Amino acid sequence: VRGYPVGTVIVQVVVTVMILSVYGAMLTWVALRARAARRFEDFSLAGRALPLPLIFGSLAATYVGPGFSVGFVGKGFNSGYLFLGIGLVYALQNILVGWLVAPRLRSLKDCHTLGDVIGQKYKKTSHVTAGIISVILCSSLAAVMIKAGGVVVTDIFDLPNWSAVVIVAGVTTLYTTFGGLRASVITDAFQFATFALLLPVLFLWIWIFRGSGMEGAFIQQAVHATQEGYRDLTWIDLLGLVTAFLLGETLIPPYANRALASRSTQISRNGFILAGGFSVFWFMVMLSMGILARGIVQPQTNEDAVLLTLVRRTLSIECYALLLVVLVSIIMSSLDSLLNAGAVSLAEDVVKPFVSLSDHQSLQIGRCATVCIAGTAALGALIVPGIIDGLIQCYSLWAPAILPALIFGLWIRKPRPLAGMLSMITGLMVAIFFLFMVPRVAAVQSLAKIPAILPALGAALVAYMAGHILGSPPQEESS
Amino acid sequence: MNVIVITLVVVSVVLVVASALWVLKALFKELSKSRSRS
Repeated sequence: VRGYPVGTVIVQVVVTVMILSVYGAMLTWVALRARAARRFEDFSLAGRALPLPLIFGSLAATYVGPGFSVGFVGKGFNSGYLFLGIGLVYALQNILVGWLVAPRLRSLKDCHTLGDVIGQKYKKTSHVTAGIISVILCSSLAAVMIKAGGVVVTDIFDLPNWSAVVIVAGVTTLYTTFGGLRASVITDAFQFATFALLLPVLFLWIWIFRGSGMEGAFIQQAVHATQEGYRDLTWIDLLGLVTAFLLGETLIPPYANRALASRSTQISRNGFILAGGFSVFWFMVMLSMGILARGIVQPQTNEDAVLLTLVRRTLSIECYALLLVVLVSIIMSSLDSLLNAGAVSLAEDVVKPFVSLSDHQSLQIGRCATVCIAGTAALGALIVPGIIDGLIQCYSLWAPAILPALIFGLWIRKPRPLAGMLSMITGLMVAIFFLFMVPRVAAVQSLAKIPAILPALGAALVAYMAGHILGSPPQEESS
Repeated sequence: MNVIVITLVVVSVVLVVASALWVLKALFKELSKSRSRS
């Protein structure tokens, strides 16, 4: 606001505070109307009664985090529509999950989490291992989301980083702790509607009223940027990106919880297929916004700062406040899903296999776990190296550790417990080796260019096959 | 080519906004149901 007359500044501050207050009041109203969970089934699966639009909206709100919004605008700025091709792989992943996996997950009885699914297929040790991996993944991803939220709030209000982290984590934890999955899904739907309405409208506004030339300049920039991006990409980078987009985020705990919480197998399937289709159009809008920024924002601008700079350069302070609302919605809708999924996994997969719990006790443990995971993630947010690096590390660990065991477990008639366990441990260990050891050990630094997800996934698949050949089929439990 | 790209961008914007409105409508329906239950 520097450089504006005092009267204008006062009006801008009042309008900004009003916009934020209206958003805060509406979010509070929606969260309160979602009601507190009274049973663990409500907390973990929202009573298995969620309709299609809410499953779709919640899935889309969860996967559209800082990477698929701010990150994709930056990608459009630097490499045009190159990432649309890679984004199509992500859409394909969702459609395949919806078509082949989600209905199978939903049809299983007594499953609250992916750990439960793996436990049903491979017995207790694998159940607990999958639970621990899920909790670590959700906490790590939550730390990345809180960091991203902190960066946005700090940038706009000039607050110290720790207080921005406390605000973002505190508000989200509050409604997730009491309302569980239902509150998470319902607030996700509200936040999805907020950012999916406001961001395209901001884009159109800038394009029509601030863009330099409607068609010619835009197309020229799009072609130029896409060619530049294509020229800078090596085949190994491309393979790594395609694998990460295809498998990295597949069925992470919040998505699996939504598949399990759908009202029917049909809704579970259609929710994923629609969310996959939506991602194509969403990526198109975000990348176009980045291309539009090329004529307005300085070429050397940092990728993550392109969206904020574009809005700051072209629109008024009040619109910048609207952008804050959009970004906070994007981040909170991903964060609440991760907190709930991590908490449910901790109660169901890590505590319950060892201790017999009543429904009320499970609910209380789930609530305490939400607060503990949020606290751990908030502390982690202060040491997360970078948003994109953090996300890539999480995906590189998740896909090799869980996906082979989960997918084969759902499709093979009598999966062997040894195969599941070997695949999870091998995938995890190889991913950790490539992520954290290879860059630090001089003797193996030549391997640092290989994306960790590729060797780790390969090793997990080989381990699964070895375990399947060597292991014995599970004994039928007499009950 | 220009026309195709511009059409795709506009169609994407329309579909994203339409999805948002569809979810918003379902959200209010769900919230009014939970009000009548309580």
